[in-house]
Amino acid sequence: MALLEIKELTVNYYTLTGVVNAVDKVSLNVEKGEWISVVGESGSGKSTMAYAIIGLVPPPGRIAGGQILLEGRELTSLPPKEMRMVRGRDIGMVFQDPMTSLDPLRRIGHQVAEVLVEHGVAEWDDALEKAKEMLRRVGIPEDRADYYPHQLSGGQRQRVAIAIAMVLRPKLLIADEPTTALDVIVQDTIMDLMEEFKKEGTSIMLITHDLALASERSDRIAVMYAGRLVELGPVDDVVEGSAHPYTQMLLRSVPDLWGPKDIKSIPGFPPDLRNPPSGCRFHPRCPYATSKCSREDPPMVRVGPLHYAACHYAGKLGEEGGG
Amino acid sequence: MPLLEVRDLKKYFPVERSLLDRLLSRERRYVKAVDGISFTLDKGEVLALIGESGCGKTTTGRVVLRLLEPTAGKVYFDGIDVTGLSDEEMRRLRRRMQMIFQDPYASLNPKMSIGRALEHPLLIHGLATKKEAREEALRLLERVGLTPAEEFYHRYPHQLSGGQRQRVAIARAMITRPDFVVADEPVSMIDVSMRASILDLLQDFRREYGLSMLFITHDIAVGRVIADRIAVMYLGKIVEVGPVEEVINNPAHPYTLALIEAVPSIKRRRRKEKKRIVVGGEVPNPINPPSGCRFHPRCPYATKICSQEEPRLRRVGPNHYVSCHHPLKQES
Repeated sequence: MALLEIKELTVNYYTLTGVVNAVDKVSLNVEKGEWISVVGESGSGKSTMAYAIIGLVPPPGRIAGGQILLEGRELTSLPPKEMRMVRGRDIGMVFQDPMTSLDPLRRIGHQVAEVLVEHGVAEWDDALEKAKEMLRRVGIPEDRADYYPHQLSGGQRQRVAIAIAMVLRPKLLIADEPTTALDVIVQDTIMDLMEEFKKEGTSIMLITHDLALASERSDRIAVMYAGRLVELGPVDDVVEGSAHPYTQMLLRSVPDLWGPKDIKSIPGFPPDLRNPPSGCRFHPRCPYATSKCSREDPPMVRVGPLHYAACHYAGKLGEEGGG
Repeated sequence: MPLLEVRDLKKYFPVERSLLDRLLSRERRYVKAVDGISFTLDKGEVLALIGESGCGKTTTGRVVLRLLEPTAGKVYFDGIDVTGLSDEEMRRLRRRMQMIFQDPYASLNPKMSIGRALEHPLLIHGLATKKEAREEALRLLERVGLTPAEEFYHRYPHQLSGGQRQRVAIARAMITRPDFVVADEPVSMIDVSMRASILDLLQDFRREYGLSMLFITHDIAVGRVIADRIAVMYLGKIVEVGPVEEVINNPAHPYTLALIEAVPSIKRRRRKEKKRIVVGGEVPNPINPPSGCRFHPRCPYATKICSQEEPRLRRVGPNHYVSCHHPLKQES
């Protein structure tokens, strides 16, 4: 059984100017011990999906359909109190800005220890000791347990946020653009740290706009566009034999230090999800689009053993991804 | 003669003193954002200034255009000492030296229509009549792909996406046909799928106008796409400068190597298992930078001399210079 099963998840934001269909019938599994990266641009629905998993879709957003099962247990209908226990114990979450999960006025050791106390795992004295151990584990020297967040660098703050997320050893760590605000050398060390937790058996879901970052550490990549999952598969299949035109074009548009210098832009702009395009949401920007694409939603079709793409012509467009 | 020459440029920012500091009459301290850098830029050339946050790259761009006054050093543009110009003389030179900012949401006046924003530089520099300015604005809108131009002319910034605003910002910088532009992270706030088109646009203007560009970025892969040469900055200093492919393929400074190794790449996604260099810690505080070579506390190759003596820029290949006591590459 998969660790996490997302089935036909739909999330809408009910704004004054209309209903924004941020996530549209997305189905996705996270296997035990795997690193899956969800890649997409802003507005692709990748972060909204992550928030839906941990039951924290911000208003005016709401899960409008579908199921989220953690080891077979439905999360979307859990009472808030139980969902709070799931967060931290079963699912840890790290955000782009570590200050989202850090309290600026409290010592970092206390903040890590508090998670243990709140979940009834340890008493304060014991919890503080365990917190120090956890901080050391993420690369923060023990004598800094008394520091306040502002005394740390951005990278160290993110390490503390990871310590908070991981102290109860959840089965799944969801990291939403955890390194976007950090410099590349620091980013690399944070990714190393996440990889260590993966080696210990934690499943990782990395939410990122950076396809290259995703390609280096993931087992599988899920590509989202305009609220929909458009491609899913093992890293090598997705970056070397991409089956969806969006993935193919994205690969050719991103500068890669070791790739070709002549990058090609994707024409047009991402759609307004108050009024998404009919049929395939990528069709207005797709060079292969036919009238069928504007009429019918493309189903997820299998193009390889574990490789899927939501395109009417998936597998029939030739190998153009990766280059 | 190069179009732009920067000589030993420095920009220090005073640190606000606390009441206690003042009561104890402690000395004023400075953030040495840019601490003695020199480089040249030829006509039609693009130099990418690469570095992590806090390295001084943005400050360098602003001082070169005299949006900030330098603490010391000289900037020569087309033989003119920019640092010695009066405000009025500088204002007149602005037409030839333009800037494109990182944040297209902050760089456009929200109350000014796109058309007026574009005409503005032409009118204040007295380069065109109202009618001519309007025609030129429409031509530029067309040129940057904001069509129908008539429609975009009447729109306001809030009606445009980030990518569209950045096109407007580029059009506005280009409308006076400058010789030189500083582009400060022009694509880092733009959605991934739009970045290539913005870079294309800058390339087109470069060819068309023979434009020289100082392209400031934290992303060496983006720099590679557009630049002829790369200069790598660390804590207010240029540590390495050279032709793009040479710096990337044969970096001479350990910091440059560390930076290159850390950049995620699809092509070399499996290489992470065998790192060639591991650097410790994070960039130190620029108020009190390390002695000698500023990178020495993080450098795996550092020896005694590195903490004692500041390395001088030395040649390691054609047009390739490094400031390191133990460069990874020698002049062949």
